[in-house]
Amino acid sequence: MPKSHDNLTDADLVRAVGSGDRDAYAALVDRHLPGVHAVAMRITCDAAAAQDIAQDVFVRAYERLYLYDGSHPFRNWLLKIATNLSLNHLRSRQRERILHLRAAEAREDSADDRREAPDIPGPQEWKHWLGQLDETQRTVIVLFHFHEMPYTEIADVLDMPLNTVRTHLHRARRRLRELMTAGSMRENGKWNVAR
Amino acid sequence: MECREIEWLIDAYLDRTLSRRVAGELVAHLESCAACRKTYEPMLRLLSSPEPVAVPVGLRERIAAALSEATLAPAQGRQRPETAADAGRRTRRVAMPWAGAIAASVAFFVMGWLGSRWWVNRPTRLHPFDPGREHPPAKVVLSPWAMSNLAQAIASQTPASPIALVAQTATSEWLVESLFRPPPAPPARAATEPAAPAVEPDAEPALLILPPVIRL
Repeated sequence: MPKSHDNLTDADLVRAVGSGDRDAYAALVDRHLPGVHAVAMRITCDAAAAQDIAQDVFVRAYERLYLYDGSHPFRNWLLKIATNLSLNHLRSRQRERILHLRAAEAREDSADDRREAPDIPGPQEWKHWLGQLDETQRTVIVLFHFHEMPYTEIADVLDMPLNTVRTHLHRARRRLRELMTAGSMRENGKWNVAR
Repeated sequence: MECREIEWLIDAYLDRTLSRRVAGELVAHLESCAACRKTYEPMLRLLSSPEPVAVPVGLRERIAAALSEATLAPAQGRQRPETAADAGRRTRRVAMPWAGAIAASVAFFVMGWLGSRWWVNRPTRLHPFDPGREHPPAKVVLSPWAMSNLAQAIASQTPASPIALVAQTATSEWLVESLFRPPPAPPARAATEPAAPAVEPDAEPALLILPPVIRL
């Protein structure tokens, strides 16, 4: 990132891009690439797809910069594009169906297979746990907890009412809790899901 | 704090909407209760400390190469040209609410006026159709003012209070009556004739306006 762009805000950089400063857009890419890539990675759980999506996000944003009206932070505008592209990727690959099949297979697995699950899953297993949520639940968890996006922005990104976002987030947390508790509690040969 | 309260509080804790005191009690309970800790700690650890996702090596260069081939024209200071459809949408957004309300109000006023005239002049059994017949003052079926006010209430898309509607209509009619009604001609009478009553017996009764009562 050029030194001259370090102290500029996103709004200043967007205006500079509008006036033809290409280095300003390179500065925006440097600033927001980690977040955009992480959103794509966490929603798709696919490293190759996340790279393609991150590239697509910045190219599309550049080509359609006139659509950015400045009413929301530029970061959230990029994350919205990244989220939509990630969801489109999931739908096109029918990832949800595959994940449900995997979850069903996991439920039918023997107790020996379950013993391979970590006792107390740590943050490094996020891909394992998030992969068992449906795409909407995973998206709200990723945007709210991992990228600190407020409810209103998530509602705007997913084009759903605010209370629906709350409901999805509540169900996603409950589902995660049940999955992680079931994966860590096995006593006397049977599984106890603590309530 | 009891274990059954935790499930209700954990969402608010994760939303950071719990007060500092209650959040402290929640954390203290999780530290002291092994069952709750076993239930909630894995999820809390996952959600509160996500593993950072590293940007793959070479992705920045790949994006830079893709951007060099991207169409730069819209981003270089040129706004999207406004189309006729955009202009129409902008005009409609500004003009339509007022235009709709005014048109509906005028239409309802004309309908009320014509309806009242028709009702007065309609042929009846006692008074068959006679174009030259003089009629008494109109007994209005539904006042044009009432219909106009009703139209405004409908067009404004807000719940119309019946009391406000009646009050507005009565005020409108009183204003029109007091502003545009010609003064009654003084009765021609002989000098010896006793004074005429103050109110003609067949005159149309005026609308009763109650003055406000001020209680001290």
